[in-house]
Amino acid sequence: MVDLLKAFGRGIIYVICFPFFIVALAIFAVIGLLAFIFQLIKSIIFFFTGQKFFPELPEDKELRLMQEAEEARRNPQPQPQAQPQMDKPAQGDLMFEETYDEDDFLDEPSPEPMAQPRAQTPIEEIVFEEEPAPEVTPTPKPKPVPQPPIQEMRRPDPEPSKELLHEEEEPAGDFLNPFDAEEEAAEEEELEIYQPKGTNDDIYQIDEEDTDSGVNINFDD
Amino acid sequence: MNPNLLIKFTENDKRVVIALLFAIILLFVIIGLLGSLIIRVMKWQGKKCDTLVSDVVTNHIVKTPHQLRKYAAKKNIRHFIKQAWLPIIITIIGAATLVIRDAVLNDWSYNPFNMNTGFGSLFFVWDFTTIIQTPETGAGIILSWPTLINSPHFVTEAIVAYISVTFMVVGGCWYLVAAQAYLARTIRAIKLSKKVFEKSLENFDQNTPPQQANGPQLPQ
Repeated sequence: MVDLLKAFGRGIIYVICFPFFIVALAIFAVIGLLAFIFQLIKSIIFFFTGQKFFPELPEDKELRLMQEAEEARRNPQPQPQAQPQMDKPAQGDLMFEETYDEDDFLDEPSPEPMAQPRAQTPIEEIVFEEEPAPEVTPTPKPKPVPQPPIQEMRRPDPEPSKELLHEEEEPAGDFLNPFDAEEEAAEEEELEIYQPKGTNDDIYQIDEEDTDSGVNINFDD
Repeated sequence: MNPNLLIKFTENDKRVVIALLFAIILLFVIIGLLGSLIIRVMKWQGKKCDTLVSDVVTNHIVKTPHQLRKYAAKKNIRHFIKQAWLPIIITIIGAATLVIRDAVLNDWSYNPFNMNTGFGSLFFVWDFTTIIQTPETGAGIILSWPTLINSPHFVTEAIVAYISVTFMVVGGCWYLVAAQAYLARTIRAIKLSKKVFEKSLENFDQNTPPQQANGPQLPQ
């Protein structure tokens, strides 16, 4: 009941004061609107002169200088931080140079770090440590050296030695059927002409039919 | 006392007077509660002033109440501009929409609040001019309920009025709230300027030694 009466009394006071409140509110609204327009004009000027929208107040500037001085007093000589070397990784860091499938990480738990800090190992071991044996990597097979055709190798020596002549073994069928032996020898000469498989024709696609426009060389990717 | 001046109430008149009295009391109570709510809101809005000026005050950069009021006024107006630019732009958009509509249709006598082609078509409208009528005989009055002349309905021609009036009302109310906060911060700054630099001798005793007083303890 007392609260009700208090609210009733406040209500009477507020009814009396309400017009003054409205007038004060209207005055502040008008002042704010004028300040907004004034600030808008100032901000246009500040925009073209490169200044801030709200310049720093003298009190704020003094506060900032005070805070900076306090900060400088707390940290008198800030140590410059060393730049990390990008070519030498720090000890203990992991360098993943290989690529992994996503399924490997999803299915299996994450691997333990492999790099161990070398500071715990004695210095003798580090200095006189045997270098690991170089990995045996499969060397690429040398390309077959193009050899002259067998026909050229069989070219008869102008002065054949007797030993070579004795070492040659004649087929047994020559005595029985000399005509067949000659035909077989002729066929072998035709078949055994060496043609290397790894020729440059695979690399350079030469269009032999197009003779008008010259040689078209297209490099494979 | 002249008995002719006394008002003679019937039993029914007394009931009506008591009912009116209760209604007036209830009305003032509601006004009092609303006023208390507004004051609480303004106190809450005024606390922002403490945040704006606390660093400068705690570091003893301002040393007089006049400096504090001046500094708080600058900070308050800046904070008001930051709060008020959006409602001002919303209000300007609403007004510009209405002006463009009038310019395109060349109808500068258009009332955006009318109930036929304006914002008033969305509301109930009663005609209160007919509640009091005098009879033809001339004796007494006749009270009647106001007649409903409009019920809410959508009008396509009033779309511009719907948009512009909505924008202007929302922006205006928002701006008034920002202005109220500005007023509250100004009142708070005046109170702070009196309170922060206040020196009280309430617990000071001239005869007590300085070590036992409540003032600052001297170093040993």
